[in-house]
Amino acid sequence: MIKIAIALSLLWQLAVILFQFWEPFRNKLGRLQFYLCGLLPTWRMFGPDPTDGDYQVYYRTAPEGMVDDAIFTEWRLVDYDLKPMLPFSLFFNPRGNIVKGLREICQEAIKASSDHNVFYQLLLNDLIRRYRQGQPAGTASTYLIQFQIRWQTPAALTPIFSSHAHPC
Amino acid sequence: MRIPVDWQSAQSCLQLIRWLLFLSLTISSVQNISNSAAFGPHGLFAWRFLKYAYREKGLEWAGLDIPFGRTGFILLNLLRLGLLAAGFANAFLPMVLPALLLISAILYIRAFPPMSAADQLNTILLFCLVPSAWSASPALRAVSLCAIAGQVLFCYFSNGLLKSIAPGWWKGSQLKILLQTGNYSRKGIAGLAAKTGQPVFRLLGTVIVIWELSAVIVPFLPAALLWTFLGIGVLFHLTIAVVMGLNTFFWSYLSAYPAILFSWQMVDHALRSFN
Repeated sequence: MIKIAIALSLLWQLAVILFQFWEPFRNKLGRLQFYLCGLLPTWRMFGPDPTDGDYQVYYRTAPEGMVDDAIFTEWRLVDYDLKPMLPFSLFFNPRGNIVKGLREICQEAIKASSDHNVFYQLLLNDLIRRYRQGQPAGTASTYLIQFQIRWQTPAALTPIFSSHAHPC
Repeated sequence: MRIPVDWQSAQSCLQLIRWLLFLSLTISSVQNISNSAAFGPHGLFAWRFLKYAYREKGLEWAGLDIPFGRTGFILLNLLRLGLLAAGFANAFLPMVLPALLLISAILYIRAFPPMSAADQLNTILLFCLVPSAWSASPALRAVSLCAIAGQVLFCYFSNGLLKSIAPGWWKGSQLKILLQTGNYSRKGIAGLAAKTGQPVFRLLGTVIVIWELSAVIVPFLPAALLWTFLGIGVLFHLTIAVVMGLNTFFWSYLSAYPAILFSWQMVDHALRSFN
């Protein structure tokens, strides 16, 4: 029994090592890796590719009905990145998950070739909710909404993706 | 050669790992519940859209709309909190630990965009703790502890290796830029990082890379260096939690430290038995 446990443990460790450094093995496992929920982990924390900036999400709106020559508002930044006070964050920092999730979603959304992309839709869905929440109660008028993803580094803020305008 | 297993020490290490891991999972579930609006139909992680991404991963089952909707997500987290309460009381551990592993896996699948390396490590820890709860064999408990230590030490080493091939980490430029981002820093720290000279970051970057790479030799280090390694680790994760906002990393990685201590003790016994 104990020998089997040792053998399985060593095999698992070997699989984790291969998974990190051997691409054919990673490709062979495909979607199985996802369903192992971390038992074959991906250890890539801030390396080798540099983390030199943040995705910033902006949106603007316009009254519906003049799609071609819509008069949009100024771009407004959606601030996903509010952090709590220092001593507290060790025990409670729910924004950390939102920020991580937003990075993943933006990473995929900027590759979207159409507005049917799941991550594009997730972002749009969230922005429509935020926009509606900011409107006075009882407002029923329809608006167009457009979002833009920008890459913010210490040196520059660069637009990298613009969505179509969608009714909301 | 016979390596003695210190039964009391293994038991204490497992107990400490469980408590720290349960704390990590508790924080994670409370944060999930606090973020539950994001998992609702109009949220950033809405299942009604995200489920199409799962279809590409081969998961397509209409029954998932209930547990993966907002209410289901909250209930799964509440169930996990209930199991964690039983776990903290050391009640029904042979059933509680596999149930926690199952629910944590379901939550991992549901909430994959915000899932991090800390959640992966939590799965690994739960997976290793289950056999030790099912069997009273000291040897099996020792294997569980060594498996945890092996995984976490390899995690550090692997990260160190990846950083070491990126020249920016040795020069400190990557750390300096990282601390000026909005996602992984704070306004005060970002301002300070911008003003601080490159030599400070070169030193810090080099220390981080060497510390991570040294994980692979930890079981063979003298006791004083082992404690230095662990001390740097605690400081490293505490800084990451407070400065970068990655709080669950602190608790998840700290959970594995008793296993590193135990493995060091095993290797120490083995080496002594050669003499």
